[in-house]
Amino acid sequence: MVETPEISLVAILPELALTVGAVVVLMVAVSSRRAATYLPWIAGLTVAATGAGLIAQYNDVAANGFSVSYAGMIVLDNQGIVIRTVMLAAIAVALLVGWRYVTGLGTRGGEALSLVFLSAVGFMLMASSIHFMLLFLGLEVGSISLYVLAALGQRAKRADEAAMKYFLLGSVASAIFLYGVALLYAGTGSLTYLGVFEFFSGDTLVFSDGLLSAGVALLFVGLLFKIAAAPFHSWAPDVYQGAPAGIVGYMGAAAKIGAIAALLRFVQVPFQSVIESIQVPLAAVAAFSVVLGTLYAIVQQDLRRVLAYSGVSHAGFLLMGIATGGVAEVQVLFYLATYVLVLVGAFGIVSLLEGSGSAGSPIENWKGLGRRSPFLAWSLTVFMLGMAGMPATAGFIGKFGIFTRAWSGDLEWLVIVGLLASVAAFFFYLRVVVAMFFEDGDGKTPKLGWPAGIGIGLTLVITVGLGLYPTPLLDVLTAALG
Amino acid sequence: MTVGPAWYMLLAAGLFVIGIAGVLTRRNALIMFMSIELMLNAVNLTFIAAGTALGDLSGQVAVFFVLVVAAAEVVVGLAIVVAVYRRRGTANVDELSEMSG
Repeated sequence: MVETPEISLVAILPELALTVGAVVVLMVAVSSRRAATYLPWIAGLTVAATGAGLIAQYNDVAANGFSVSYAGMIVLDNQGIVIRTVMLAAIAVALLVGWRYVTGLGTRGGEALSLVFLSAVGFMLMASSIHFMLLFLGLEVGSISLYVLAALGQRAKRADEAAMKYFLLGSVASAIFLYGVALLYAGTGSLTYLGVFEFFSGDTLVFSDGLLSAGVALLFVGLLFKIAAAPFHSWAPDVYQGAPAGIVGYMGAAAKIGAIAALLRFVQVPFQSVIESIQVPLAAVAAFSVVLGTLYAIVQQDLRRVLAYSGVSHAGFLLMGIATGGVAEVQVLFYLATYVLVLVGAFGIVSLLEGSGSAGSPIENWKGLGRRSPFLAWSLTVFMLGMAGMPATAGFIGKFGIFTRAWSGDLEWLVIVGLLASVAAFFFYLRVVVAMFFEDGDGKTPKLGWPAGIGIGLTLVITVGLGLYPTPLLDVLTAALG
Repeated sequence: MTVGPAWYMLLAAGLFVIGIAGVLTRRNALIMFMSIELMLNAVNLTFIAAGTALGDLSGQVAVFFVLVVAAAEVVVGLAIVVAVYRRRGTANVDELSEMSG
């Protein structure tokens, strides 16, 4: 008699809601001629249902503490809830700012919508997984959906090139990740985080076995690829440049959320007792990403590529927090939340300026936008300053928190590298601002619809609000995770 | 001399390296794609060999999941290759170089 594992529906409520939403969207899109009129309602309902699921999860954790279900595969705890909430916020803002892209796809709009939901399911599962096989499944559900999303822009000339590069390199990264899991399994005899943790907490404190070290290294390389950390970032600029503008912000954000969630759990549970062995390589990757991302961003001529390379350096800052071990989760999550929202908002403005059909946003196109469309120009300015870490924006609070943790965690050299890079980063973040306000140009005047206006406005409020008054959120996060 | 699980894991490591070498050196998208499949199957062999050596079932079960994911990847990958080929008449990744920097 095989024991039935405990099934806890509340542990997967948000994922369930998104899956149902994705299926319903697909069914409606193929079966109804008036699908376009229903899509906003289904999308709104799905997002609301996911939010309700998150609230139910929060109440459950508040009442019963964290719980493990599905035969030790899924954990329901506050950290996972916070990450899923960030994911949901990213979806909501991405759909608002990218709604014109979704409707512009016509009958394909339903497909894009359901792929967004499905990729979110995968990356959300990565946040709650405590089993390496489930982690792999979540990673692949999310990644494969993103490959298709990258290819969906039929009219965008470079979309197929971007999709091909993303797919080939992404699949290699997944295979490398999976080989890491297999070697880890061969070395420790366990596929669960807890089993690996117990193995490492035993007699061996530092990796000695070559097989095991190789496995752990491959595991991390696979995830570092997904967050576009240097030197595993080569796909990011081309994908950010070629993929449809309406959705590329979400693509970058979603992959980062999922992989950072997994890395955070890695240093908290399975590899916690060997953190000394992985801290130096992680810190080295962090430093390399920060420096290389900043230097390459300076020489780019296209705002999309600037944002891609800035994403590389942001991956470095996030890794800086992770390299300190499991002690900086509040700071990492705050940074992640504020960065992904600003990224989605900034790409929303990029897609508004480009309209449909074009791919690429050379800096010349931005000249004179301050006169043609002051709201968008000022919004983009705030987003750029937020990414740069200007005081009075959320980006500053995020960077400050990570630097403080890294400094007290004996990574002083890394903090100095990060500070220098942050100063240099102002150059490329402000270049587009200078182009918008101080140079003349007669590019397109973007039309701002109300969904995009709400999305951009929300992101603005969050960026500035959390920059001026971050204490409530930080207190909530500390109370929930501490 | 008996052929034990360790031999299979060595073979798998060899296959994995061949797969990586294929991805890095070949320029035809389909061949690169086949190399990725080779890497995934090397992983499968490792899982099976490790599961046998450990006397643990989860290694064998993992293979089913990998197979399913590989099949899903094939579907998406081939569709992308076809889309590229239709537009450009070639599946050579070196010709996909509109973007760089």
